[in-house]
Amino acid sequence: MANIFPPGTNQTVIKAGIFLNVVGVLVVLAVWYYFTPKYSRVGYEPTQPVYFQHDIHVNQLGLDCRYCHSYVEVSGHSNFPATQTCMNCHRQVQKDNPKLQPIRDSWATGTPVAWVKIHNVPDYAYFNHSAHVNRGVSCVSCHGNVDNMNTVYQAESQSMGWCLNCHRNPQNFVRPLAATTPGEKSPVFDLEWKVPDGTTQGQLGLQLVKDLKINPPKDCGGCHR
Amino acid sequence: MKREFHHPPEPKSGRKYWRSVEELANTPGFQEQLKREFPQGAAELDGDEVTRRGFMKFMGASLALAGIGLTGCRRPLLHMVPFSKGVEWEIPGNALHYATAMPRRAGALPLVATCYNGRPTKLEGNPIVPGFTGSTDHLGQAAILDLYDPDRSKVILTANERGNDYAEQSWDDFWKGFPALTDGFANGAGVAILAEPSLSPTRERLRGEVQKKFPQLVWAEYEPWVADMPVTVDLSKADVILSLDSDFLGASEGTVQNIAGFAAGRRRLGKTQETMSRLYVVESRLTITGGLADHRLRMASSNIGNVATTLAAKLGVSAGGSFAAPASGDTDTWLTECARDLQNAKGRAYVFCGSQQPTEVQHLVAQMNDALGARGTVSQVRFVPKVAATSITDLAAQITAGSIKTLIVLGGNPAFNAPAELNFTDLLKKVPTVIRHGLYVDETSATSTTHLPGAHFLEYWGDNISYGTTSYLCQQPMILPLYNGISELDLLAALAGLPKAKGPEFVQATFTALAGIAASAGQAFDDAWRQFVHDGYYNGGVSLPMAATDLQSFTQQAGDASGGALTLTSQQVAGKPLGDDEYELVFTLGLIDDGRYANNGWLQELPDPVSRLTWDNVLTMSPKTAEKLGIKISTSNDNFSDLPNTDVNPRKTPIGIIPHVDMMTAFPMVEITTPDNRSMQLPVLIAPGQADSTLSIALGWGRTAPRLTKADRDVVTPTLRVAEGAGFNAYQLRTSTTPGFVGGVKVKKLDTTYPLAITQMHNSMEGRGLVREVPLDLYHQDPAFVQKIGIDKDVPQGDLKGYQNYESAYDPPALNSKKPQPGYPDGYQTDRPAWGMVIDLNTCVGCNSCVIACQAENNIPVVGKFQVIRGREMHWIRIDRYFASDNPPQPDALDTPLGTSGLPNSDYLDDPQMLFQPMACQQCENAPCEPVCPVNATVTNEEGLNVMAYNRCIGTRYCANNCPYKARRFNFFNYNDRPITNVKLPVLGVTNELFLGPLAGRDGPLTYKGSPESLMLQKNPNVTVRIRGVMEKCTYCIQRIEEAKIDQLRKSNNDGAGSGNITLATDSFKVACQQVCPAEAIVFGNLNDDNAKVSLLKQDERNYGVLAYLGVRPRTSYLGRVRNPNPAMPGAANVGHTSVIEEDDAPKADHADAKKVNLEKLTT
Repeated sequence: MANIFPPGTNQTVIKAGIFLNVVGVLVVLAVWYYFTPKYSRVGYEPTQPVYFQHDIHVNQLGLDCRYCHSYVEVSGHSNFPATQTCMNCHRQVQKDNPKLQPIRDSWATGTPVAWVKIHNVPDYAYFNHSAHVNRGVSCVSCHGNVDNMNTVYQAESQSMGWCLNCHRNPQNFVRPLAATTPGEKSPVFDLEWKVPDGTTQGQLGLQLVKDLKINPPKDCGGCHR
Repeated sequence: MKREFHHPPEPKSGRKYWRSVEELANTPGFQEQLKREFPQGAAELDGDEVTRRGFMKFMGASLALAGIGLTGCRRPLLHMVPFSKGVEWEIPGNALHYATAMPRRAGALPLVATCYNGRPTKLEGNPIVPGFTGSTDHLGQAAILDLYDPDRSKVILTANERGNDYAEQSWDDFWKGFPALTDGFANGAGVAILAEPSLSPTRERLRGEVQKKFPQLVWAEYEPWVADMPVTVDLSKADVILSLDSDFLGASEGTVQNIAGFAAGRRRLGKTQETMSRLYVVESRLTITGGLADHRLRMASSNIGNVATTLAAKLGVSAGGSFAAPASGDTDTWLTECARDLQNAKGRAYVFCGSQQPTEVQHLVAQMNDALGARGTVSQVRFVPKVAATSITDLAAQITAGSIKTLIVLGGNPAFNAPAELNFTDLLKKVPTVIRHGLYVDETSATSTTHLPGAHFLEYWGDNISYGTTSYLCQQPMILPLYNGISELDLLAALAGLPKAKGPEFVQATFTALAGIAASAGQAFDDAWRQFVHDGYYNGGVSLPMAATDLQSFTQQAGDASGGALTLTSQQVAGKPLGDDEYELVFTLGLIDDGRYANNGWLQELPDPVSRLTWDNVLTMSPKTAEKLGIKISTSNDNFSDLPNTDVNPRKTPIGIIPHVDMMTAFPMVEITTPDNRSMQLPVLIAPGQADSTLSIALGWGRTAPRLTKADRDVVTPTLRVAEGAGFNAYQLRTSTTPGFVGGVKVKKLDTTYPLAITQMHNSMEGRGLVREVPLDLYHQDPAFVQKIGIDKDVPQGDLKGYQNYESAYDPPALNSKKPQPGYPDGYQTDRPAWGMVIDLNTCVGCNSCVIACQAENNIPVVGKFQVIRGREMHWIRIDRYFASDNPPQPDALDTPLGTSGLPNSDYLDDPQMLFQPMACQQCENAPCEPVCPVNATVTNEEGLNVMAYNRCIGTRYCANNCPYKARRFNFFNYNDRPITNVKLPVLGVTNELFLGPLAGRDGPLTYKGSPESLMLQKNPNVTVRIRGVMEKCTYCIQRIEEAKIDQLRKSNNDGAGSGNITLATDSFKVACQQVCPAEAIVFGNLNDDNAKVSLLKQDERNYGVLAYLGVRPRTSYLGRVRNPNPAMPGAANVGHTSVIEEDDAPKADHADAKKVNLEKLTT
């Protein structure tokens, strides 16, 4: 009986077997990775409808975060500014800049600007901005140095393990609520703030945890309800 | 060794608590129910008519679809959309609270609406209106769901063919044709308006304007249920209360105030016996008021008049005639002693009379109250406007005479609920033009030529008068009309030719007149108006445009204008005596009121406080009457599926799949016929405590929604998806001559059965001394008596008051204990709050408000009738109802052959006492649910809450299996994302009550949409909406706790240095069930705060934990109930002795042994 399959077929079977095994392992690893907190969107930098540069507004013009994100201290949500807030200045400043056309359109028509959301906490996690900024957690801890960003990107993984890292050891992150010299920006909102000379974050943090009675929840109910 | 815990044995004799007649009959079905966590079939798929093979088909198809396009592999692009121009006060993420008011039959209920981003999500009582607390009743809580009801009428319908085919019309077209319509009215001759009675001064003003323009116009008003006597009662001032057929704590207008006052009277547990109020109830069917009675007398409604005349005579009030004595012997003693007690408490006594009683009896009771000196002390005259309106009977006569050419029906639903003898549906069809304005396309719309969509009370500017206290209330809109409806005020104003209002102009005009501040006053007016809108009521004198009817004239209406004695005839007072095979039918109000809230899923699924019935109304009768009629409760011998059933509505057909469940839910049908030959068929429920030979039925169920447009007819789902198919229409038996009760009713037993969804048979607790009560004298002898009942007697009471002292099977984590603990030398987290709750069984009346409040606050879904039948109801808090009897049969009696009704032949079913117990998660410190969770989805947190991480739950249901309180609820389906209807789909023969995966989603190819978008708007944004496969339960409103704590953090940083106090102020916030409770029976707070009300109550001698002997250390505890029997009354020795008898009969040694054995088992 003649050989139905040419001799090379023997190798094909082995190759195919190896190939399928490798594919299988890769699929398992990919799914595994997808379900771990490591899979996060650090570096996610979508194109926004308006080319808004935090660098110009914060570093060059010295705007406080809270000029635009005005309710961060009183609400769970840190709000996006209404078109009205932009127009407070841009009625006079750069009023013909074509980059600002969507803002002017929104102001004229009343249709809101649809900004692209970068930091997306799942619906079952109830993060509250006011609870954090009122206890010495700076914007920079979660959002990175937004003041230096031209287009905002996600700087931290914001996974649950990352949250708990601070909830378990708040002394490594908290800052004083009030500035040391009156009139200066609160360290919470001063993204370039550095630990004063002569002390370390560890020492300062422990003192702050004690003074501010910082006791972050470490159980499920703190965020999931 | 396997750990096994045994509860102490149930005492074989003594008083017995029982939950349903099935339990007493000890049917095999009941035994089966007891042994299962969820009823049989609850965890099985086959009951929903989808076979395993069909399911696989669906799954395969879903997976195939999901594969196309790989849409799941990319994260969606999300957007943040801020306002273009900022909105005043609006802070994204924070709630705003506005005062408003809910119009009700006899006056409005002041409310505060919680709004998130412009959508109201929750209603609470407005505590700053004088005479009101922050509580509401169940209707006030459920009103928010009506606002978002996707079944509300959305378009104008004009008749192509009246009653059958209607075309849609736009508002523009309607208003274009409107002047021609009103011009045709000329002076109004031939035009009639049929409205609902209202206390709104603006409505009254606009009515005047309309009648000024059309002087000949007929203004008629109709209200199917008559409000109670024109008084408000402050029960906190009453020592002795008698109710004559009045359910003043359950179904009357002033329930919120009545419950608050009653609870205050019951709370007076001083060291002298006189201080606690005493309640006597004479009634025909067992109501929650009857359940709270210290002494209750069963009496047919037609006999209440005789009781009243007898009592009146004993109180020195003459009824002006001779009347039959209602009974002799014990009953006579009962009445004599009751009258004496009332007489002794002169000035601190009050007699209620049910509104279904004849007016003459109510007049007599009003005179009795005057004789008792109640007026001005306990009761106050209530403002009842005197409006010159034609009655519906007179209107019907004019329609019959042909003098009405145009009829405008403003709200209401007369085609459904008008007196039966008028045949109003046919009458309406005789009127050439009928314009109907209403929230729903309903029975009346089907008779009209034009239907106009109405606006919900949270959608338009209005005003009202508060119930009882006569404050002028502002009814502020919370949202623009969702479905293009207009208010009756707008329609009346248009009729009167007034320009259209853009805002509150009509109310402002009324406000100007009432408060006496002209709009031209400028700043002064603005200030007063703003204050009025802010407070929700006008804090100043108002002159109401309506004249009041007063109690003086009320008591004199019985034909004696001089104000002297009444002259009543026995015909007026009592009905015709009943023949041997004749019965008396009593009409009652259920949880959906008179039917106007029938399309509210929360109310339909709310168990009736006494029968625990959902989604239906039934005919109730006493066990003796049932026996006489040969009506059997179902037993396992009945072959349910063989019984004929002709009804095609799926909600009315049996499931026929799961024998045990079917057997438990099949109820016999009867046909009842009134003397004027009106008859209907409906199922029977045997109701302990009902007077023999009386039948009762709740009004408002049995709605039929018409399908008036082609679009409606093309879809399978009904137009009123919730109301249609639920219950039976009792209005078809109710005539204007006998609105309260009708005698001479014949009953015929049918061979058919009907499925009823009753929650009482689920979640049974096998009588382990869960509810505890003592009579007042015993309480005075030993205030700590309730702590020594059952097995608790043998456990040493320490300084931590009982519940914390039990040994536990687990190593106690010693949460928040201030005492040093192993590993925690300074105690553990003492600066953290320790949340706890106390529920006072002495003041809880079982009104159900907390159940709905919890549902609204915590996004709890409605599951539908057949899911309830399978025990899948989702309420986080439930009210357990227990019956107790004086003379239960010996245990052997349960094994002997049953009587013809299937029940043990004994009198003790006839007149039981009833007790309520709200039951939710007890937040055990050693929670048995926690160690069995394989994924740690439920854990005790640092503040003692047993929290649920829904996103972590994988749905093993081990926790529910291990919960001794059965407080956990499981999402068997995606209840939040599927319709509530139960209609057969043309595909595969499945019902769409079942969630079918992605195919049946909102945009799925099967098009039977999931949750309507409007219902999503109601959801509380601070609580996760749970999906299928997730366990859920009460967590003491953790969203409110966290919000309160974070709010305190914000406040502590007011100085910018964070130096403020971060400790929550004592009792600074309330949880949802606590906030709504009119009796203030639910108290929640911080146990680590010695000044908190809950800490003080935990020290009360009546404090005990349910099943505390299991060592689970529940954070919720109960205060035992105290009854206040009058020693001179017959049967007084049995009142409140429930627990006592049990104690005496169960020898102490038994308990001690039981405990020893238990502990041995646990430790080995």
